[in-house]
Amino acid sequence: MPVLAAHGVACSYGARTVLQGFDLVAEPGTLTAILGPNGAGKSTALRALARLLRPDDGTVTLDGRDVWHLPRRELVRHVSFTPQLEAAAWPMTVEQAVLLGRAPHRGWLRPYSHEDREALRTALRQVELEDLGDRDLDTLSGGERRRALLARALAQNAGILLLDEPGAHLDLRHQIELFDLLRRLARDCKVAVVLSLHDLNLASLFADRAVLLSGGRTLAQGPTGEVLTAGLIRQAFGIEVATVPHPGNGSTMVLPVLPG
Amino acid sequence: MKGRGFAVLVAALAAALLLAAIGSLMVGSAAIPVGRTLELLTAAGPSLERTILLELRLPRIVLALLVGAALAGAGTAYQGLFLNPLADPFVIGASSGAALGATMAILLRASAWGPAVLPLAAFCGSLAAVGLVYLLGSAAGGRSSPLTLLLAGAAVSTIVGSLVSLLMILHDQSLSVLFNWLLGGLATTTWREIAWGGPMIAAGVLAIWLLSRPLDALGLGDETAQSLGLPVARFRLAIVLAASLTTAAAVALAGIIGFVGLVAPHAARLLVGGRNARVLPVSCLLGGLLLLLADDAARSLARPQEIPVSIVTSLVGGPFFLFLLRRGARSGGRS
Repeated sequence: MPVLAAHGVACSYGARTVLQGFDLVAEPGTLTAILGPNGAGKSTALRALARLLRPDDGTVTLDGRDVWHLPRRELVRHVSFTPQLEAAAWPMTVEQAVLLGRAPHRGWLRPYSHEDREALRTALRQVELEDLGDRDLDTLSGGERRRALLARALAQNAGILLLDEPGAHLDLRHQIELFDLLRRLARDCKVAVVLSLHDLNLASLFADRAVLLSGGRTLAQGPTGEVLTAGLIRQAFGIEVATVPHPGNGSTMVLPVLPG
Repeated sequence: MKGRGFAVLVAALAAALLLAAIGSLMVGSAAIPVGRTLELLTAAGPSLERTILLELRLPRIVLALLVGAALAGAGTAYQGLFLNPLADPFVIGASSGAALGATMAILLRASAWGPAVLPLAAFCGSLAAVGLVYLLGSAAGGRSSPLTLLLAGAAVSTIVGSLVSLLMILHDQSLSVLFNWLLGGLATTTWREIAWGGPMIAAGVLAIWLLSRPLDALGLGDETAQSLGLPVARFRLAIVLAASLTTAAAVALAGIIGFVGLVAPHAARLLVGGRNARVLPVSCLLGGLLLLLADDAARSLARPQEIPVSIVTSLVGGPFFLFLLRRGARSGGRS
C-alpha cells in the first residue's frame, strides 16, 4: 500500500495564510482525524493532500514522490477525495455518480466494464444504497447523498481515502455506521483514512490518530486519546471542557463545561 | 430511466422525425398530394415535380434536420461546459462569432478558394467568440457564475453582431446576400453544401458524444472532476473545439438560428435525466425535429411568402428562455 504524506505544508488563499507547517503521514490501516475549530485549516489540509491546492511551501508525497510530479491519473488510483458538499449542475442518478468513481481505472472515453458494475454494486451495498441506484441525487435526503458520495470513493478503490466532514448531515445511526465502515476499511483492507471532523467524541470513538489544528497551526498530533485533553481543547476552541472515560470502552469523552 | 425505456424513446423520436420529414415533403408553394409524392419518390424519369421534391424540398429537409441536430448538440455541450442551462450557441456568442468569420470570408470572396473556406472561417470566428466569453466570464475569479457568463455572452454577441452589421453596411452591394444568409436561410440549399456540412456536423456531434463522461464529471464542479482524475483544462478545450466545430458548420450552412440549442437539450434532460451520453442523442433528435417543424411553419404560414426560420425559432425560444431565467432566479441560482 502506498503512503501519502505531508511535510511542512503551508497554504494560503491570496495573502491569507491558512495552513502552515502541516505534517501528516497517512498510514495504511489507520483512521486519522483532523480536528479543530471552524477556519482552523482542516479542509485546506485535505485539499493539499488531495493535490487540489498547491502548497506555497513543503511537499505532499506519495511513496516519496511529490504528488505534483505524478500524472494525476496515477495519483487518483491511489487517493480519493470526497468533498463535504457537492452541487451537481444537472440531475444525476446515484449509479451514474458512483460509476464516475471508476474513471481513474477505466479512463474517460472507454465504456464501463463488468468489473466497474461489480465495483458499483459492492460500493452501494457497503453504504446500504443498493435499492436507490436509479434515484436522482436531488431526490435523496442529505444523509443518503453523503453515503452516495462515499460509495463513489469506495468504487474508486483507492488505498487512501480523504474525506471532508463525512459525518455532517447524518443522523446518529448513519453516523455510527459510516464511521464503523470507515474503521473496518482501515482495519480489514489496510486502507488509510484521513478525514476532517467537528465532533470530538466521534473522533475519540473511531480515530486511531488525531491532528489538532488551530489558526492553521498544528497544536498536537498523536494517538487520539493523547490529543483530546482538556488543556489542548481549551487552547484550540477557547472553551472549558471536562473529559470523562466512555462507560463502554474507556475512550475519552469531551463534555463542555457551562459557565456559571 | 432504464436502458429499455431509453431505447424506446429514441426509436419513437426517430419515427416521429421520419414522419415529419415525409410530411414536410408535401409542404411548399407547389401542392403535391400524398399519393403523388410517394409515386414520384419511387418512380424513375425526370419531371418538374420530381425535381422540386428531390432537388429543392429534400435537401432542405435534410439540412433542417442536420442544422437542428447540430445546434442542439452544441447547446448540450455549451450548457455542460458553462454549467448553465441558459447557454446555447446563440446566447454564448458562438453563433455570432461564426457569422463574423463567415461574413468576412464572403466579403473577401474567399469561397473562391474552395468550399471549406466558409465553414473554416466560421469555425475560427466561433472559437474566438467562445474563448472571449469564457475569459471574460471567468475573469471574476474561480468558477464562473451563470450571471457573469451570460453577461459576457451578451456583450460579446452584441459587439460581434455590430461588427457584422458594420461590415454589411460598408459593403452594401453584398447586403441582400448576407442579410438573407444571416437570418437563417434553409431555402437555398443544395446537396453540394450538405456534402461538406453533413460530415462536419456528424464529426462534431460524435466528438461531443465521446466526451459525454467528462462532461458529466464537469457538472460536479472542477474540484470533484479533478479529484476523479480529469485533466479539466484539456477536456474543456476538447469540448469547446467539438461544440464550436458543430456550431460553425450549422452557421455556415444556415446562418444564425437561435434558441434551438437552448430548448432541445433542456427538453432532453426532462425526458432522460442528466446523463450526457443519453441527453445528447435525444437532444439532437429533438433539435432536428424542432427546426424541421419551424421551417415548415416558416414556409407555410405566410404563403406564398417565406418567413426566415430564425424568426419562428426566436418566437418560440425567446419566451422559453425567459421562463428558464425566471425559474432559475426563483430556485436561487441552481437553475
